[in-house]
Amino acid sequence: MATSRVVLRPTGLGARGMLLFAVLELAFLATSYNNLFFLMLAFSIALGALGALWAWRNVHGIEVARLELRAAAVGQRREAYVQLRTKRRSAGLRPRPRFGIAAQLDTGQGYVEAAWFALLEGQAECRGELPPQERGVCDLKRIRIATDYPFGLIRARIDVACDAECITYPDPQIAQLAHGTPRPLEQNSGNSPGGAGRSTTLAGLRAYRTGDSIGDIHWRATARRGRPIIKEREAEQDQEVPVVVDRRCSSEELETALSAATAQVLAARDRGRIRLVSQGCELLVDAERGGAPEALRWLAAARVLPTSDPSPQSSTAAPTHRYEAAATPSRLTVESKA
Amino acid sequence: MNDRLHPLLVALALIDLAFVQATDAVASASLAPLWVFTLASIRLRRLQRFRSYRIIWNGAVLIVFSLLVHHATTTGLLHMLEDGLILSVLCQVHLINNIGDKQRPDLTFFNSFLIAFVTSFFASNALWSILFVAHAFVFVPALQVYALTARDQAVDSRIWRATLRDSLPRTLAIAFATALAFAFWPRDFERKGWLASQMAFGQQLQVGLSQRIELEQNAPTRLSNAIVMRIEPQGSQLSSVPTHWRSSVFSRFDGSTWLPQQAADLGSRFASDSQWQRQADGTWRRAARGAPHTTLQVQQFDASSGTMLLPMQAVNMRPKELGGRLLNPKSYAGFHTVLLDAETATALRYEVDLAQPKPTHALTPAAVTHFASLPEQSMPQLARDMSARFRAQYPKDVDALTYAHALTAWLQSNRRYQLPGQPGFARNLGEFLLGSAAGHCEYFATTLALLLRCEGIPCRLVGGYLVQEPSEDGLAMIARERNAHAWVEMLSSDGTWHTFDATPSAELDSQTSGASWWDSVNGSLQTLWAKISGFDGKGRSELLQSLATLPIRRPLGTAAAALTIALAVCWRRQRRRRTMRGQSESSIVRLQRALQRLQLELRPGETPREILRRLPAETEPSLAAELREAAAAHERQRYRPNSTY
Repeated sequence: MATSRVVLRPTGLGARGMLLFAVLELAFLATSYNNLFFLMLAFSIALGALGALWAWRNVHGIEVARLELRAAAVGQRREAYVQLRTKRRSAGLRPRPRFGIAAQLDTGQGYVEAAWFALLEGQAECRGELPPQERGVCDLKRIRIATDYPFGLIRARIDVACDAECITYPDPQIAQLAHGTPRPLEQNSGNSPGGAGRSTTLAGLRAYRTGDSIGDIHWRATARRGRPIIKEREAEQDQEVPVVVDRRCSSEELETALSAATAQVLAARDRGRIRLVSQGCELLVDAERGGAPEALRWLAAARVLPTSDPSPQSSTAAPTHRYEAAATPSRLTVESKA
Repeated sequence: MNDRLHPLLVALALIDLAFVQATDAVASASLAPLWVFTLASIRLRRLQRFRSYRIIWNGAVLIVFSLLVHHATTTGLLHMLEDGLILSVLCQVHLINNIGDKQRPDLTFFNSFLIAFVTSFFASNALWSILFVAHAFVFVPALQVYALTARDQAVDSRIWRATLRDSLPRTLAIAFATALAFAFWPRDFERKGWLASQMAFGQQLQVGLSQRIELEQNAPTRLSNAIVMRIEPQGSQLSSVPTHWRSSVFSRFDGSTWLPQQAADLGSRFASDSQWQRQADGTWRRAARGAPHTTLQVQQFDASSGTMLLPMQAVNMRPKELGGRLLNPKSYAGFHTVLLDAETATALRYEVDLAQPKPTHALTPAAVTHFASLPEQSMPQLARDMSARFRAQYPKDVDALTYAHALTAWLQSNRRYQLPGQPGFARNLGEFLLGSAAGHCEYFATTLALLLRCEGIPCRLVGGYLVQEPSEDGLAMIARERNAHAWVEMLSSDGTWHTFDATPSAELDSQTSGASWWDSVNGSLQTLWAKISGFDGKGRSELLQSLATLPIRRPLGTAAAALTIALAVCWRRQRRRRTMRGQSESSIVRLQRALQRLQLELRPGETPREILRRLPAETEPSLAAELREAAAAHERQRYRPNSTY
């Protein structure tokens, strides 16, 4: 989308100023000509006209250098990083400073202010916060640059092209609140009977990460290196847990299932590996190789499917772990076989 | 409201108080508390969070408002202006003392503009224009700072200073645009307005002499250029010709009309001036101090007024050609002419010798009382108030002459001149006394006479002609019908009559010669003010012609001005380029300054980002923001050296 033209509108102060001017103008026409009366009206007109011109100049020529929006859960505020720059006037000259620039984003629910620049000289960045949004993926093709500067009488705005996405994924807490805290996926210990357990084969040593079991600490290596060291099992490295989401359900059930899947994706982002499977979707989320942003994006955009659609299919072997999500296991199934 | 904005609003309020003070409609004692509260608002505003403080302020404003309304409605319309102005500045002072942090100061701006607007109608000197310029240089930056701080976000000092610097060229641009519009916008200077045209009188009055002076004649005037008299000095310069030539004298004022001086009022024909005595050779003579120093040949073409025009200094008069008229000397040392045969009437020709007349010895107490009398029933109270206020500025033993000079100068500076029927002309004496409308010479003379008489100083009104224009041949001075004029003669204790002309254009020229530098500056300002307030189509044509011929009349000055402007533009561009090149040094300096303010030190090998990570949580947000910006600027310069940003 190309940059639109600058649009000028009076602010509240400007509207009241115009009303006052109209009253004075009527009084001027009703009475005999007076030089000082004309001088005051001329001053008012100069103030308003030049104010509009300068407001136009204040936003004209602003470009979006960068726009980044961090993905956030439903109900959470998110950080926005906006970098604006002004076009060069002529070679070697300092760019004209701009004051009071607001950057607004259209997230589908109206324009929301993402950042505010008190002074923009050449290039400047600002971090702001956007209010909570509904679940979904919103394509941001334009950012609105607005200003009331210099006199607060006229608001000038211009829509500048940009390319960004606003991803709002499901709230991972919903499933917990609705159906209790799901049991986390357990690693294969190898010693646990009947199914889920952990491998006994030592694959290597690695630094301790939050969430590791105290029982896996290699004490001798820890003493030698002076920091906690964990015994890494072979099965941990190879273990991949499929998370299957069947979207042939009602919207409320889907939201619950997506919430639970989001919790797994967020957990796998730090540790472990999961394969997110649904109709038309198969994504691997791995702590080392990534994949979480794509998965969160898919979770943000997922929609209900009709019951006539086929069931989710996975390209990998049969899953190796069972995960009992809650009261509706039929809609979020993580199946595993020992 | 942001704390950065408050000082500018205080400055606005101070200028608004100055506007009101400049109108002279409000006593200084009434404004003194408002001045004090305005200056104290910087401290007092901190108490705004206390409810009791707000209750006290609101209660006080309501009480003052009630008193003002009561005063205005019980003392007449003349005090409504004074009370209205007090109320408007009281609102302004109340706002700046009570506005909370979350409230918007929009009303302060509107109120300030309206005060400047309203006082423009009642101010009649250059002081208002100086205040208006100062008001613009505070009003515009205040609006800019308000637009920037309306979000209730902290604005650091760097941005605040940048905003104030940015406001200067904008204010100048607005002032320039206003001046251009004022000078060149086409408009009808004679426009009456659809309200005024409803009340206009049907017929025009011709400017000229009359047997009585009625003040409330508002019909438009027709200015005739017909020459009334020609005065040729014999053996001396044109500058020796007196400027004021008397026709009639008026001594009794009934509130709206001046009536001619009558001997019966004085008790004796000889009671006020030394009288003309006819000599055997036909010459008329009166007592003089010393020998005559100037002789003038006078031709009076228009004697329809029935009077002979003579200056105060005339001590000898030799008729040459009476044009079929008889002369009748009057008690004020003038002559009435009686036309015997209209068919043979011709111009009057006579010779006049000038000297200092000798005071009459027959000045009676009754005459003195008569010349200091005031109308009993219809005397404007405002004139008494004005007189008392003016008198208070001088010591009790100030002599009458000094006082009269001071009053004359004040009237010339503080009241505007306008002809009847023109826009802004006073409908009655009250409007002129108030300063809300302009008046012609009769208003000026009446006001001066009334104010002098309020102090018991005897004086009278004189009608005649103002002689200031040389003839085309350069040998004489002429007076036209449009030069009919009125002024005041004041009687000093030694019986000498002194001429005082309070009408602005008449006395300014004579006073500027030999004046001090301050008088010269003041005079120039007053002249400029008169040109602005009296700007009309003729003035605009003169201005356009002056600008068009400026390069021809002042080639060096024009070239110097153009060169100065070109040099200033080049210097500004060079400065911007130097600033661009200097940004590499300035980013490090800026970072160091930000660290200094936070009392942090850069550890060896530490990057600005690492410093940002170890900023304490309780760091002041504005300082933290400054450090972040400085770090970002330094990074840009360090890692993107080829960027122009």
